[in-house]
Amino acid sequence: MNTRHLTRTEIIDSWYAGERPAHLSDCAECAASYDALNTQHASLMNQQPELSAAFLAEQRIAIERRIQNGQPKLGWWNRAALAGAAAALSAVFLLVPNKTNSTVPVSVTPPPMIAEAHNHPAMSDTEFFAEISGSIERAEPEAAAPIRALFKETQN
Amino acid sequence: MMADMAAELMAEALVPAITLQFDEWMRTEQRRVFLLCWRMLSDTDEADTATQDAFLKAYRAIDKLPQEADDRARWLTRIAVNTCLDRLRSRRWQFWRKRAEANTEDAVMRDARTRSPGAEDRVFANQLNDRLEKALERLSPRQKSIFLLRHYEDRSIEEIADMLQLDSGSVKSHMFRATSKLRAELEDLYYQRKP
Repeated sequence: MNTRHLTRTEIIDSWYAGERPAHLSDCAECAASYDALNTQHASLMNQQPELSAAFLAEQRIAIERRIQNGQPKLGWWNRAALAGAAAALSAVFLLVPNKTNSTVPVSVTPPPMIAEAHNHPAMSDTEFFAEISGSIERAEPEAAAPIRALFKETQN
Repeated sequence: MMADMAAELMAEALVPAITLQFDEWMRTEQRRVFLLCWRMLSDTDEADTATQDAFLKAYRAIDKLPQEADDRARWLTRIAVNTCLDRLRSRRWQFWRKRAEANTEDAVMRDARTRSPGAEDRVFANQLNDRLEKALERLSPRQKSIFLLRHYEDRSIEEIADMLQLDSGSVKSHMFRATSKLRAELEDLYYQRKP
């Protein structure tokens, strides 16, 4: 017969594993410790937090509504993601000019390089890259041209 | 008080659309399911959503609802635990997720810690609860669900195995790892109070 008493750790582990060690049938002291865990656990369970009736009722309403609608509830992150997507879409609508509603006809002139490429559909890769490198090597960016034009006007 | 009554009335008004039996059953299980979800997810808003999801899933699968009350409770617990496990898994990429404000949680959870008789016990119970909550966060979702089902739901190893579709040996092994981790995490508190 094993006379060694079980440690508290062993008793707790056995309790959580749902096992009643054979030693308990021979040892009243260890059996009492084991049974005390049941009492201790039961008293802990009596100290469960309470939930307000309003919260539970609101939750039931939400469940019942979802059952009726068959809609999944969106978590806050889903709602945030949807709100973000909606905001991004709105921003796109605001920033991109709406051609159909515009009262002033807008003529879209492609940049010279693209226009040129359209005019010369058979432009070879070599020509194309030469065009690009020429553009890069230009001392002044093309965007400066209108400013220069303004400057010239004021000079005249 | 008026708000409670209004909410109750609204809830009752919606009942005919679903079955009365389901509503009654939901009322008996709601608190338990919410607390289980709350312990698993440690977040009131998420637990609320998970509880709603669990009942919605149960309603959709109502033809599978077991006849026996115990079996029904186990069936619902399985749905709730799986819903929470799914949420815990999906949390891995929710790096921006934040915990609900303490004030909000307090409004929902009327803390029973204050029921402890002595001031010292009350302080210790608060400390233990906070530490336990943090220690539980360090368990894997599986270990956490097994520990919670055993500790708070008082489920047997066989019941847990059935709910989580595991064999009893795996449940025991997860349980052993969970208790070992919790023991290590709470060692200072445990030895400080041990008689």
